[in-house]
This record gives sequence, structure tokens and C-alpha cells, in this order.
Amino acid sequence: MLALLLCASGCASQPEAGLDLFTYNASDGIRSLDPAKATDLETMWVVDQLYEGLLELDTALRVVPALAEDWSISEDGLVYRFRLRDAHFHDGTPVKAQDVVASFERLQDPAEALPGRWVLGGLAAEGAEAIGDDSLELRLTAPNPVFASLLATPQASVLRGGGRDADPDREDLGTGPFLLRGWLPETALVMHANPTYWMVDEAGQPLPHLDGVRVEFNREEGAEMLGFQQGRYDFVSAPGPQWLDLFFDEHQQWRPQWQGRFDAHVTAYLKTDYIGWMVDSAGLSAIGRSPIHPDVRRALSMALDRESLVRELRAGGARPAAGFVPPGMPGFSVSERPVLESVRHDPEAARGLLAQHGIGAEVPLQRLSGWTLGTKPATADLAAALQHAWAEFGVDIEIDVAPSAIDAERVAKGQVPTFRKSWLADYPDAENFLGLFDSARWAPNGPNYTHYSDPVADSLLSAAARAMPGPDRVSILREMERHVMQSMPVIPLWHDEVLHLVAHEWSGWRISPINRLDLRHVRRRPLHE
Amino acid sequence: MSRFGRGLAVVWGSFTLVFLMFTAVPDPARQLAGQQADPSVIADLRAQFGLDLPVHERYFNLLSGLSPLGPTEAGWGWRWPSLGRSYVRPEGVGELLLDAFPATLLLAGTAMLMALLLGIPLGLMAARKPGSAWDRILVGGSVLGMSAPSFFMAVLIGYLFAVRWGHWTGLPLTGSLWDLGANGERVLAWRNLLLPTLTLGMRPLAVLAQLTRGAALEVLEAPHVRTARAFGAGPSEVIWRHVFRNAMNPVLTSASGWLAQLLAGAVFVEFVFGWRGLGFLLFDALEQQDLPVVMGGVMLVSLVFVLVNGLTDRAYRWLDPRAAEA
Repeated sequence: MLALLLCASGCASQPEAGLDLFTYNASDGIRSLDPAKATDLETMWVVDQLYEGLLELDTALRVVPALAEDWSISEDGLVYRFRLRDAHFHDGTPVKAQDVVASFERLQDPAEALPGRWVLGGLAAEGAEAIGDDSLELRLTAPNPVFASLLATPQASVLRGGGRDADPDREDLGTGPFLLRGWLPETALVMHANPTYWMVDEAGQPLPHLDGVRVEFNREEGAEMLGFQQGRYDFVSAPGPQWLDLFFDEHQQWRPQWQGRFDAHVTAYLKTDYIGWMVDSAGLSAIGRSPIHPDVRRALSMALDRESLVRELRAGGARPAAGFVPPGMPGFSVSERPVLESVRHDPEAARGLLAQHGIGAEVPLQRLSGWTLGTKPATADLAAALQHAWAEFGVDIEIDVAPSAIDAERVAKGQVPTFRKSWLADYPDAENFLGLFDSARWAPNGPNYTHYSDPVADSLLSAAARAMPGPDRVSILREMERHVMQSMPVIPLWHDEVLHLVAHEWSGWRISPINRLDLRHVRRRPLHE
Repeated sequence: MSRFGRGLAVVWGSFTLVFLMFTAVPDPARQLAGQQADPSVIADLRAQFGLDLPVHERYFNLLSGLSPLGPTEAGWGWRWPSLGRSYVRPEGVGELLLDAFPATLLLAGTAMLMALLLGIPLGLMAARKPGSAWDRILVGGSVLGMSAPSFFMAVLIGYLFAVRWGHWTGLPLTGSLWDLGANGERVLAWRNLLLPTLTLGMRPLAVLAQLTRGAALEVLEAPHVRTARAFGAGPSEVIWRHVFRNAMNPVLTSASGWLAQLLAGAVFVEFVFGWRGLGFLLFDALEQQDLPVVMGGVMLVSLVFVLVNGLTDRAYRWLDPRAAEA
């Protein structure tokens, strides 16, 4: 009976005919299609297909026009003017400046409580104004060198009618390269190519090339990887270390059985994993701790062999930290910002520094103990590796594992002295990372979880905020990073890589250090290739 | 207390217990706000969901939403009880539950059906020749089926039928009742029901086969069966005409009690096979600290348990009037 049922089901599962859909899995699922609520990568990837903003980033992270055909900035840096291209929403209505204004007003509206509101933080109240149907002006409260980059985030997308008279959670109100054909939450989402999309490729062919995209929401990484191997999925992103071992040998080369079946696309990711230390004495005393000397934190950083951490814990899918700002950030490549001394593996210097403070593994030095490192279960292995590494230097830390949400909450409330976090670039500017050391953004009122506060760092940050993009601004930010890393409120560990594995039959893959998903140029490779 | 009152108390108790447990964990506002953790957005999100209110007010608001009598657009009056809105999804809790519950019922129902359709004939066949090779295989197999933990069976069944023999069976490791076609249309994917049904139905199948076998063996010794044999009835006629009906009483009584257990077991099986039912929804809601969905789900499950218990009680009393007097 079972065999009969199985056979019947097998026969019933015919592949869909006609349309050639590019399929991938989004294991965290998608709960809303609203661009303003896109806070995780997988939602942003769908938003990338359905929506567009005035501007976008190219693969080299330069700001280029999208729905805006051209744009200009006033000399005082306070007014941005945009002229819209001739584009249409997916229902056929033309895009007007009023749609852009309404989208931005909705994003700013406190009653909407939209997580993407921060991208328009610099826009004056009622600072968006339509000038006719095809032009608009945005007035800022102060010059903001990263404002154009912020307009290229998915949260700053343009919605039909601003999303006011529809349900952006469930409806497609966009102009993007693909339009929504169906969405079954927790199961799948199907998009078809937008036939009226404005962009063309180098040969003048209309984009996108694909018939459509199918996104499945399979929670199990094992099922996703199996689906990829069996050809059900055409692309996977950042497989876990055990899967990297399955695909690649110890020289990071494809194992023979996968050679020619899949392509690996890799680039530096604008992301830093770090260990944070609470540095504010009042906050520490509230949890019964006293501050730890910056030398000790620096020593603990130099004690770490990041190469081996990356090899063991990330299966090579990351690069040892070069500083707090990842080297993929414009102006922070290894040639422009050499690896900071405090993140180099130097056990002797680490021992020397610790000894100066009476800490060490050998008599007469004292062991430093009773310090707690809070972590969520997913990163408990890292905590154990650090515990082991630091024990050799006479520093004993206790590990406190809590469920992810509780861990995040206690870090935000300053209830753990040491914690693990990561920061992912929202926009390609070092200020996005160094803003974590802004004294005005102390957690829980912002992401300054270490409660770092330093007048020099604050003044460098405001100097950077006044400087327009260019070498001067980059050097201010580099100076700020050097300054902060002297007192080491954070120990940077590694920078992930963006790794996309794509079935070889697809060409035209584009990858960028902020890990957005651009499927516009993807097409099926001709058979003879 | 009346039966109805007791049932209501159980539902209210589980509602309150879940609410109290959730007061100990952080609300999801910070998670929803993303890594920028903009304090004004967090505050606005809390205000939107009423999370900024004192605990007792939040409890009262949730509870009063359930009342069919309350403020409506046209003053006080009758209204649909509301389970509130999900914190993380655009849908209302009622809508989410209505969407997920039928899939769970279907899974539990087909698992039960499989157990009945296979378990009873298998048990009867074993009872025909006690001690035979077939009987021993069945007894051994059913002991295995009863004792194997469902998480182990789920992984094993998934591995065998979807991974190892996947190219032959054409079955995916995970999937739901509904899928999307290439044009974005909803299509039924019955094949996705097979593996979770097999996993979930395994235990009741084993129990029913054993139970049927035991009951049939007892009936086979009954005087009316011996008489039938003496009158020349063949083994098949004995089993189907004289044993089957009499052996079914204890079997069916036990089967009715299984439905509630199956619903509970479905939670885990749904998660493993990605079957988008009530269990899957609850699991996800717990992960997202989505209190309204968890509360709605738990209330629904407790309501089903109360109903099934009530029905089983009635069935007992109908079958055996002595139970009503006790």
C-alpha cells in the first residue's frame, strides 16, 4: 500500500512546464513584503526584486541612479534634487514624484513605527517636496555625507501611493525588476519578470533575463543543502562550516564530484564579528564589576590566533579581523589601512602586557577570574574557544549561554560585562561601523553596547559628519578607528565573506560586499558552454 | 463544577499560564527594530502593540478581546471575539490559526485513518494464527513502532524516503499541503502529506494492531465463536463475521482518545517535515516571541483537548451505561 502511495505521489509530481524560474531557499522565512520593515537579509533580497529606490549601489558600492534619472546636491549639502525616469509600477501606473514623497512621509510617520525610519533620520520634517510630477527635492536638517548611500538602502524604496492606500505587508507596490505573482507565507513566493522594467544590459537587451524567481521557505539547512545538490535550488548563500567541508577540500577547491556543477562567487563582506566589553564604570558597578584596564583587553586581543579561529569555527568562510571596520569598506583595504597592531596575533606581547598588570598563568602572577562572557547558543562554540585560548594567559572567563532574544536584551540593557555581537553594514561607509562608539548612542538608546564614551572619538565622528565624501573624510574615520582601538572596547574577531554557490547553468551572477541580491543579469547559460 | 465550567477553566488556565511565562522574556520590539535599534522606533512599536502598558492592563486587554460582548463601533454589543494581532506577521491571530489548523487536523486525521485501515486488518491477521511467523513479525514490529521515539522515526523516515530513495519516490524532505505553481497559483501537494502521516501514524498503528490482536484472541475463545466453528465456519468467516465486530469495541474506544495525542504529536512532526500546520506556527511564534499567536495556538489546542475529552466521555457512557453511574 505504501509503495503504491509513493509511486502515485512520485508520478503526480511533474515539474512545472513553460516558465524557467530561478529558485532559491530563504531559510528564515519572510513575514512582510514591506521594504520599510526589511531588517534581515532574506527579506531585503525579496525587496530587492520587487522594489527600487531613487538610487542604488553598484557592485563597487558606488551610488548610481535607479528610479532617479539624475540628481544633484546643493552647494551647502542641504538640498538634494532628483528627476525621475519614465518608469511604471507593477500595476502599470506611472511613477510620480508624489509617490516618492508619500513613501518618505510614511517612513517618517511615528504612527507607522517602521524599523527603516532611521534611513531618513537626516531629512527635515516635511522635507520631501514634489516639483511637478517628475522632480522632487529633499531638504536635510544638516549636511550628511552618507545621505545618498542611505537612499540606496531597501528601506528607502518607493511604493505606489507611498503604500498608504494599500497593504504593503502583503501587496506588491513596487517598480522592481520582478513582480509578485503569489506568496504563500512559510511555503513559497513566486515572482515573474517585470515586462516594463526600464533597465537594459550592455547589449541593449531588456532586463531581467530570467522568466521569474521562486523563493522557498525551508527552515532546515539540511533540506536546503540537499535541495541544492539535487538541483531543486539554483543558489545557496553562506553554507555552514559542515557544508563547506562537503563542497570544498582543505585547499578551498571544489571536491571532484561538484566540479563543473556549481560555481562559487566570493567577496569580502562588510561585516565584523566582535567581543564587546562594557567600559562604563557606573554600568559595571551596577552589575557588581569593576572596569578592566584597556591594556588587558588589548592583550586578550593579541592573545588570539584569529587564523586558527577562522579555520576551526568558520571553515575558512571568513578572514581574520584587520580592524573594526572591515577591509571591504571603501578606504579601508589592507593597503590603505594595514592590519591594526592590536588585532595581530602576538602571544609574547600579550603576556608582557598582562604581566605589567600582575596577570598571568605563572606564579607570582595572579589569574584574572570571575569575568563573564554572555553568548547565545549559536555562538557558544566561539565562547568556549576563547575561554580555552585565554586560560593559557591566566585569564579565566565564565560562559553564560542564554536564548538569542534574552541574550540580545541583556546586552542592550548592559547586564553582561562581555558579550559577542556582529555588525553588518547598512550602507558602505566606515561611519556606519564607527557610529557604534558614538557616546550619544549608548544602549539601549542605540547600538553603542560597550557604553564607550570619549570626547576625542566624538569630535572625530562629528568632523567626519561635516566632511563630504572623499579622502579627507576617510582619513578622519581611519584616525577615529585607530583612536578607539587603543582602548579596545571591542575585540574584533573576523570579517565574514559573502559566499554564493550557484548552479553552473546560470551566468551573469553579481555579488557585492553588502550582500544584496541582484538577479537582473542572471540568465541560463547556453548548453555548449 | 459542570463539565463546561471545567473545560472553560482549563482554557483560561492555559491562557494565563502562557501570558505569565511571556512576562519573563523580552518582547520582540528590539528584534523587529533591526540592528540600528532606533530607540524611537522601539518605543513606537511597543506603543503600537500595547507593550508599553503595565502587565495587568495587557492581560486584561487580551482577555477582554476574547469576550463576545464588548465595545463595538456602534457602542456596546455583540462582536466576534478577537485573538489580537501577531507582533511579527501582518495577519491577525485568528486568520493564522484558521489557516494552519486544518492542515494539522488533516495530518492527524490521515495518520489515524492509516492506523485504523492498516492496524485492524494486521491485528486480525495475526490473531488468526497465534504464534506463527507472521504473528511474531507483527508483534515484534509493533513493539518497535510503539517504542521508537517519534523524533528518531521522523529523521529515519525522512532520510530513507526523501534522501536515500528520493530519486525513486520523488518525495521532498519538507513541504506543506499547499504549494505555489509557476504562475503563483495555489496548488494542492498531496504527496507532502505522506511522510509526516507515516511518521505520525506509526505509533497508533502499532498500538491498534496489538490491541486488535489481543481483543480478537479473546473473542476467538468466546462460546459463540466456538459454536460457529462447530457449525463449520471457515477461518476467514470466523474472523470477519464473528470476531471483527466484537473485537472492535475496545479498539474504537481507544482510537477516539488517540486523536488528541496525535494533535500533540503533530507539533514535532510538523516541524521536522516543514508541514505548515498549528505546530509549525506555534514553534515559529515561540522563536519570534510572538505572544498573541502563542496564546491563540495554546488556547485552540486546549479547547480541542477539552472537546475531545468530552466526546470520549460521552462515547464511554454510550457504550457502557455503568460508566455514567460511577
